[in-house]
Amino acid sequence: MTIPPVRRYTQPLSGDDWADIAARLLPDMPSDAAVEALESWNLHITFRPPPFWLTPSDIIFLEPPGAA
Amino acid sequence: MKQFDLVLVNARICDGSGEAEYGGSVALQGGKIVAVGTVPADGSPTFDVGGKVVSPGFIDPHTHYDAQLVWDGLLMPAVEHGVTTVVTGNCSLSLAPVRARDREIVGATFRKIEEMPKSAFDAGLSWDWETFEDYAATIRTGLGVNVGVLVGHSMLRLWVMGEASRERSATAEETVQMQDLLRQCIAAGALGMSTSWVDIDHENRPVPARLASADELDALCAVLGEEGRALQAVPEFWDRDLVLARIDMLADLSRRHGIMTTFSPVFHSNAQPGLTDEIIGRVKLQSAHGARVVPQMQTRPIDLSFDANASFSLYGKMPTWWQTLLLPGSERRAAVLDPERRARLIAEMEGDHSPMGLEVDYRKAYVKRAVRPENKKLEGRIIGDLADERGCTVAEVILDISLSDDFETSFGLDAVGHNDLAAIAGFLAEPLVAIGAGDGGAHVSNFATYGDTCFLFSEFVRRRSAMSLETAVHKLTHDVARTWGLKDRGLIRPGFAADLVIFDPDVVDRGPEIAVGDLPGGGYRYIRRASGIETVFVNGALVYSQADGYSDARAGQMLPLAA
Repeated sequence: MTIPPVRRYTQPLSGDDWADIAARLLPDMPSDAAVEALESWNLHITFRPPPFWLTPSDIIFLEPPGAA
Repeated sequence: MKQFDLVLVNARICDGSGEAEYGGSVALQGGKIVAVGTVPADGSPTFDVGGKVVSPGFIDPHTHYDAQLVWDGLLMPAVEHGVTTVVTGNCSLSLAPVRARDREIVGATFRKIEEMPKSAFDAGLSWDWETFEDYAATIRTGLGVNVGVLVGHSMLRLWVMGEASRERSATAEETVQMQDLLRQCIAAGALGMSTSWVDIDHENRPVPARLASADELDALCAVLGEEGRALQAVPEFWDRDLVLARIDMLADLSRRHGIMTTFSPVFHSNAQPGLTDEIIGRVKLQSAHGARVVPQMQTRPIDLSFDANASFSLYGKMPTWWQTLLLPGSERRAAVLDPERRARLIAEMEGDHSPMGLEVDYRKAYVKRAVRPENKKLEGRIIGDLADERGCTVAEVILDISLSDDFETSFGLDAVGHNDLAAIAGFLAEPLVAIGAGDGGAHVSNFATYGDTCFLFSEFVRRRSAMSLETAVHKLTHDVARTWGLKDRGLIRPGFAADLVIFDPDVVDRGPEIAVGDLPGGGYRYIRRASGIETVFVNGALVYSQADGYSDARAGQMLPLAA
C-alpha cells in the first residue's frame, strides 16, 4: 500500500528554475500564476538567504500547506 | 583452575535488555563476557563492584569525533560518561575518502559546520591518508573506544566529481563511480553512509550531498542494501511538511533496499509543540508498513553560542545580520559602525525570534567568553542587564563588546529549545525513538556536547521517574546496538564484548559546563565531566576509573568487525 504524502511534492531536475517546474508540473495554470503559486508554496526556497538557491535534493511542494 | 581474566562481583546487573536488574557477577575472558550471574569462585582475579550497577557500555550513535580520533583514541571525556562505542562520520561529513587536493576544503567545511577550531585541526590532524582504508588504519592505532565510521555522502561526491560536486547533480557514470567507491569503503570497514539535506559549508554553499539527485541517493542506498549497511540523514527538522516528507523518502529507501535509515535531530519545539508527535506518528505509520526509519533525539536541552564573527543559522531570519557578518573583518567593522546599517541591525534583533523553532531572547544571552582583559570582567553578565545599565539596546551591547574584542567575543544562550523536559521524557521513553543526535565532538568551541548519557539518568530516571533504570540502560545500549547491527554489543550476555560501565545510579550526573584548553594547538573547548561513573571497560580492558583516571589500555575496535 502506498502511503500518500502529507503534502504533494517533487524534487527539481538539474538546472530547473521555477518556470521549468511550473511548465512541467502545473501545465494547466498560466505560467506567471504557476510560478507565483510555487513561490508562495515554497517559502523555504523563496526566502533562502543568498548566495544559493535550488538544489537537486530540495523538496518542492506542489500544493499549498494544509490547514493548521 | 583460574578460568577468567576478571570477575566483577557484588554487582547489580542491568544487562541492557530492559528486563529487571538482578544481582550477581560478570566474568570476563579474552575481551568477552563469558559468564553472568552466579560465577563460582576459582581464584580468578575479582573486582568488587560494591553493589553498584554494571551495565553494557553506552553507545553514542551521532558524533563527529572523526578528527579527534586521530589525536585522541579515548575521545576524552566521552569515556568518563560511560561511552564505550561511538558512530562518527555523520551529516554527510567524514574525513575519508578525501583526496589530498581536497583536504583544505573538507577541513574548512568540518570546522564551519562542526565548529571546531582551526588551530586544533592544524596541530592535531596529521592528515596523511586519502582512502577510507588508510584512515581506518590511522585511527585503529591507539583506539581506546570502539568506533563505527560512516562515509560522508559529500566526500563520495567530492572524490568522484571534484569541484563539480558542489555545483550539480552527478552523471550516470559518476554515480556508478560513487557506488564503487562506497563499496570499497564498506570493504575497508565503513558502517554505512551519511547524508544531509540541510548543511551549508564554510562558503555558505550547500554541502556536496545536497546537490545529489534522488536517483543518486537511491543508487547509493542500493549499495548499502547489498552490503547490509545503514543510512543516516539530516532533514529539515524544524519544518513540519519538509520533515514529514523526508521521513517518507527515508521510508521508501528503507523498503526498497532493505536498509535501516535514521535521521537526526528531532528537537521538541515549544513554538511547534505538536510537531514531535507528528514526527513520531509518521515514523510509526511508515514502520507499520515495513520501513525502518529511526528518529534520534538528544536528552539535553539546546544550548547555543553565537558571535559577531560569522553568519550562522541563528541569523537566518535577520538578513542584515546575516549579510553583515559575511563581510571580511575590516569591512564588517565599518558596516557595524555605519549609522543606517546599525539601525537595521538593532531593529532586527528586537522582538521575538524563533529560528528553526528555537526560542531566542537575546536579552537572556550572556557573555560567554571575552578576549580583551577589560572585557573579561563581563563574562557571565546577562546582555539584558547590561543593556539596562548602559541605557541601550541588546544589539548595541552585543555589537559594542564584539567590536572591542575584534569580533572574537562569544555569547551564550542556554536552553533555547528542547527544554520542555516533561514532554521530552515521554518522547525519550517512546520505543521507536532512539537516544542520540548528541553531536559529540562537535561545536566544541561553543558548547559542551558531553553528558547526555548521565543526564538521562539524573533527569529522566532519578528526578522525573519517567523511565526505569533498566529502560534507560536499554535505550543507551542494546537498543542502539540492535539498530546499527552491532551484534556483539549492548548486552551483558555470554559471548558479547566486555564493554561495561560501573556506575552509581543514585548520584550519576553530568557536571557543569567548563572550558578547558586541552586541544592540540592550545585551543580551548567546552566539556562536562561526569559524576557517578566509577569504572569503564572496553573489550575487557579497564580504560577509565573515577579514582585513577585513564589507564594505558587501548583495546577499542572498529565496528563492524571484519568477518
